[in-house]
Amino acid sequence: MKLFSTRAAFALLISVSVAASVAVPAGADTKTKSKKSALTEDQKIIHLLNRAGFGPRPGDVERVKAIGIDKYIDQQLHPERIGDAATEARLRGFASLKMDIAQIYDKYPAPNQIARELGLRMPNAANQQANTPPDEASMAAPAQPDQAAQRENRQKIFAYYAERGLRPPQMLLQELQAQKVIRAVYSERQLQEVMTDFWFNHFNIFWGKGADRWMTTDYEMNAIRPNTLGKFEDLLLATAKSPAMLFYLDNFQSMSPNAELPRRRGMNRPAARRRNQGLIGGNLRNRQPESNGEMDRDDEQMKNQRQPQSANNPQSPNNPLNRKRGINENYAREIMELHTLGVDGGYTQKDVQEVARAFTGWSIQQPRQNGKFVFREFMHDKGEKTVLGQKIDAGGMKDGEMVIAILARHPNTAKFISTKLVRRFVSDNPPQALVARVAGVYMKTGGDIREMLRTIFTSEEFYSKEAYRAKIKSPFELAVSAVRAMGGETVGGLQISQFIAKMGQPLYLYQPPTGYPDRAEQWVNTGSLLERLNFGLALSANRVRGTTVDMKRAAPGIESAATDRVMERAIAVLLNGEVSKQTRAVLDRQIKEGVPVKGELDKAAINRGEAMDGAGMIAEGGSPARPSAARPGDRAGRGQRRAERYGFANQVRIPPAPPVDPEVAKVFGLVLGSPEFQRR
Amino acid sequence: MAVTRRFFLKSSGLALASFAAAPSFLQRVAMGQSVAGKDRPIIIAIFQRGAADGVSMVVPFGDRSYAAARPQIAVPEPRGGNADASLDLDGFFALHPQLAPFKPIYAAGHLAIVHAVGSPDNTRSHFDAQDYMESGTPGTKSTSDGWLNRYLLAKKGGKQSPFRAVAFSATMPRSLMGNAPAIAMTNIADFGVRSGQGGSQVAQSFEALYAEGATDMLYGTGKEAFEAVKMLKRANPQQYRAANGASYPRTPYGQALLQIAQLIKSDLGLEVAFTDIGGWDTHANQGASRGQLANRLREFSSGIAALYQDLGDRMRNVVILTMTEFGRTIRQNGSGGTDHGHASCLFALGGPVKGGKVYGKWPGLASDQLYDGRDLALTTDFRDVFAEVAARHMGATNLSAIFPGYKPDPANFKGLIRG
Repeated sequence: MKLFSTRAAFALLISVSVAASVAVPAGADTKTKSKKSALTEDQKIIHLLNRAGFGPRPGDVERVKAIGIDKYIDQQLHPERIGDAATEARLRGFASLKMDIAQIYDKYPAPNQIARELGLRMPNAANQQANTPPDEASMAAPAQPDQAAQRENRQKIFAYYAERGLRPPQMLLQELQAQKVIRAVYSERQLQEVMTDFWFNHFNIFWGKGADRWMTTDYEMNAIRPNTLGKFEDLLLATAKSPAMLFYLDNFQSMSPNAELPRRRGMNRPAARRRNQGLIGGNLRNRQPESNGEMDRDDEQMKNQRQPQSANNPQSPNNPLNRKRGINENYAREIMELHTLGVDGGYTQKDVQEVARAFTGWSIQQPRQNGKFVFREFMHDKGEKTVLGQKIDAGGMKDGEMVIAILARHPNTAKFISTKLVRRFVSDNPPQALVARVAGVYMKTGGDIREMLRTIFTSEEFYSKEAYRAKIKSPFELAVSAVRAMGGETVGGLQISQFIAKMGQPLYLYQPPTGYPDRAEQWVNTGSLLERLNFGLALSANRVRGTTVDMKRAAPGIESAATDRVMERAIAVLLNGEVSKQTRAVLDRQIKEGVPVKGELDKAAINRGEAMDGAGMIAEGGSPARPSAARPGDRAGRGQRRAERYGFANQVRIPPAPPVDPEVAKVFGLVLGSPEFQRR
Repeated sequence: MAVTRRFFLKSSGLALASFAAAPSFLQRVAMGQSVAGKDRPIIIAIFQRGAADGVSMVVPFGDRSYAAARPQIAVPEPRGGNADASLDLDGFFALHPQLAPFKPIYAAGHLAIVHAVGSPDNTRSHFDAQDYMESGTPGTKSTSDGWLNRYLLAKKGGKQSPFRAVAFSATMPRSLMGNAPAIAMTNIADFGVRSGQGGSQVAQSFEALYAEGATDMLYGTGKEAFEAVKMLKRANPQQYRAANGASYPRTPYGQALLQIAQLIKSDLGLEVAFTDIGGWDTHANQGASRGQLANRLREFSSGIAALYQDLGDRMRNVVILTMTEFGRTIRQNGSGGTDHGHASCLFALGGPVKGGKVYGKWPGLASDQLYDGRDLALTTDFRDVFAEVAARHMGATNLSAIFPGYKPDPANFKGLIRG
C-alpha cells in the first residue's frame, strides 16, 4: 500500500505550488507579471507625471522619488494643501480672472457699445472684426468705402478704451487661453489643472457664442475649478446653474408655453409704442428676440441710442417678454446625452421633454444687474413630471434640482463618467474591469471624483506596460509638456495658443457641446502632425513669442558637450532615454551632418536671442519665422497688434531668451517632434 | 459640321457674347452631349458667414412689396443705362449690380440660383445656425461631424489622396470635421516642415523618424504626411498662374480660391474644397447698389468668376456651391440695415449645373407671407440642395447617412444638377 495515492500526491503537489505562487508573487509567474508591472520605478513616476500632470520638468522625477509615489498621489489629490503662490503671481496681469460677470461686461465692453456711447455710426465690418470670435474675425472684410471716417471712428474708440482702462472682449479669450497655458506649465497642483481641462471639455461650451464671451471666464473659474475633485453631483449642479451653460444651451430662455408674462410698466407709453412699431415688426408678444439670445448684439440698441439692456427695455432681447415662448430642449438633451447618462444611457425623448420642463425658469439676470443665475418662477412649467420613471413634483426650482440628483446618482452615469476617466488616464480602449471598479466606487461614495481617481492611480491597469506611453498627447498637452520638459518659461501669449489651434485644438473654441474627443484619431492626421513638428522646431529655436526655453536649464552643460553627447542629453532630458533604435539613428545622423564647428554660435541666433526682451509678449523680435504675425490683415497679426495696443501684458516678466545654437536646437526640436514625444 | 460660334448661338439660343473664349465644354453641353465622363467630380463649397441678404443678392423686383419694405436700401429694378440698376434675370428676379460677373455665367446656363432656401430651424443665432448648416442637422447640437465629412465617408473607394478634402481656413471648418481625413491650410506654401535655415535636412530627419512602424497609426500618419508634402512639392501647384485672364481679388478669400484652383490643376485628387467669406452681417448702413453690402458682393462674385474663368474647361466636373446660415429681415431697420432673418438664396455654378434659372418657389413678400411677420419664408430646405449636389454630381448614394435624421427625397430635388 502506498503512503500517498498518486491522486493525493498530485493534489498535494498542486496545492503546494499554488500556495507557493500565492505566497511568493514576485518572480513566481514571471510571464504574466512582466506584462503587468514591469515598469521600473522611474517609468512609473514618469507615467504618473505624464498622466496625472502635464509631464515632468527637469528634476521632477527625483522630487517624486524622494517622497514616494503614494505620497505624491495623495498630495495631488488634495491640491488645497499644495502651495501655489508663485503660479498665482504669474496671473496677476489677467484682470478678468477674478471678476464676476457684471464687472467683466463693464470692463470689457464691445466696440459697438462704445460707438453707441460716443454716438458714432459704426460700419459693420469694423464692428465684426472686433466683435466676432476669432474663427469669424478673419472673415470680416475690411470695409472699403469711407475709410477715413472708419479710421477716425476706430481711433475714437481706442481712445475711449485707453482713457478708461477698458479692453475689448477679445482680450477675454486671450486671458483665458494664457492662464490655461501658464497654469498647466507652472502649477504645482498638476492634477487639478488636468482635471480642470478634463471637466471643461466634458461640460464643453464655446467661448464665441454671443454672451458666452463674457461669461466663460466665470464658468471656468467658479463652476469648474472649485469642483474638479469633489462630488460629481456638485460639479453637475454648478454647471447647470452657470450663466455660461444656461446661455450656451439656451435654457435661460426656455419657458413654459403657458407662462403668464408679468406686466411691465411703460409698455403703453407712446415712445415705447413707436419703437415697437419699428420696422422690425409690430406685436411685441410675437416678437422674436433679435438674435435669439445673443445679448451682446446691440441690434435694438442701435436704434435706441443710450437705452440700457435692462429687462424693462421693450426692445431688449433680455426682456423676458421678447423671448420666444416655449420650451427649449437643448440643455435637457445634452445634460443626459453628454454630461451624465451618455447617448445609450437609457433615456427617451419623453424624458428629454420632461427634463426640459423641469429646468424651465433656470435663467440669468441682466448683465447690467449682476449677470448671475436666477430662477424665474413665471417661466417655470408647473405640474408633475416623470423622469426616468421617477415622479417629480417638488415645485419651483426644486424640480430641476431633483433631476440633477436623479441623474447624478444613476448607475449609467457612474459607468459613463468612469469610462471617460479611464479613457483619459489609462487607454483609448478603457479596460472594462477597471471601469467597473471605478463605477463601483462612484456608486459607493456618491460620485466622489477624488476616490475614483485614487482607484485609477493605484490600479494595476494604470501601471501596465500596455498603458505606458500609450496615449497620444492632445495639442495642448504636447505644447505644455514640451515647455515643461525643456524647463521653459512662458507668459501664455498668442503664439503658443495659435500653435495649439493649428495643431487642431483651438482652446475654448470647440463649437459643439460634445467637447474634443479623447482619442488618438482626433489628433493624428496629416495636417496637424506637420504642425506638431513645426511647433517642436519653433519652440526649441525660441521662435514662439512669449515662450522661451533655455538649453542650459534643460540640459546643463550642453553648450560645451561633445557632439554625440548632445543627442544623448536631448533624449535623456525629454524622453528618459527611451527612444527606438530608429529614432536614435536618425538623431545621430542629424547631429553629425548638421553641426558646424563646435563652439561657434550662429551670429543670427545671437541676434534673435537678444532681440526678445523679458516682456515676452510685447517684444518686437527679430525672430525670422513668425508666419502668422507678419502678414497684414492676418488674424494673428491683428490679434498681436491689438494685444499690444490695449496694453495686454502680463505683469510678470520672463527672462529673455538666451542665444540658441541652431544645431542643438534642431536636435531638441527633432526629439520634441519625434513619435515618442507625441505620446504620454 | 463644324461647330461655329454662330451655329452654336442659333441652335442653343444661349448668349455667350461676354465670354471671350467659351470653354469647349460649354459647347458640348449646349449640344446636349454628356460631360460626365470619367472625371472625378469636385465640389467647392463657399460659406458666406454672417447671414447674407438674399433679396439684395437676387432682387425680387417683380414683387411689389420689396421696394416698399426698403425705402432707402432697395436695389433699383433693371432699367436701361442706369449703372446702379440690378441686372434682369427672368423678368421677376435681377442680380445685384455688383454680382455682374455672374450674369454671363447665368446667361450661358451654368449658374443656377435657388431662392427662399435655408434651414427650417428658427434660430437667429449666427453660431447655432452655422453649426446646423455645417453639421447638416438643423436643430441638433450634438452632431460632432460635418456633412461634407460624412459625404467623404459615405463615398469611399480606392486609394484616397491626402488632398481629397482641403479647407482653406485656419482651423478645420465644421463642415469637414469628422473621421474622414481632411486638411486645413491657409497657404499652400506653408504646408510642410518649416524650420528656417537648413530646412530640408530637418524635414528629411523627421521623415526618417516616422518611416518605420507602419502598423502604428502615428507612424502611418507620419508617413502619409510626408508623402503628402512631397506630392505637393512635386505637383508644385504654385506654378499654375491664373489662366484665361482670370484675376482674383487680393484678399484672403480671393487667394483661397486661387489656391483651390491651383490644387485642382495639380491633379492631386482634390474632391472637396471649402472656404468662407465674412462681412455679411449688415445691421447698419447696408447700402443698396453701393455701400457695405455692395462691396462684399463685388469681392464675392469676382472671386468666384475668376475661379470659374481660371479653371476653364475643368469646370466640366466642378460645382461651386455657396451657402449662408440665414438671410435678413425684409424691412429695413432704423439704421439703414437689416437684422437676422430666415431664408436666403444660394448659387450653384459649373458644368454639371442646369443654370440660367432661379429655382425654388417664391413665397412672396407681403406682410402675411413673411416668416414671423418679418423674414423671407423658406420654401426649400438647404439639405435638399446639398443632397442633390451630393447625389447627382458627386455620386453619393446613401444620402441619409450624410444627413442623419433626414431622408432626402429625389422627388424634392430642384433639378439644378444634370442627372
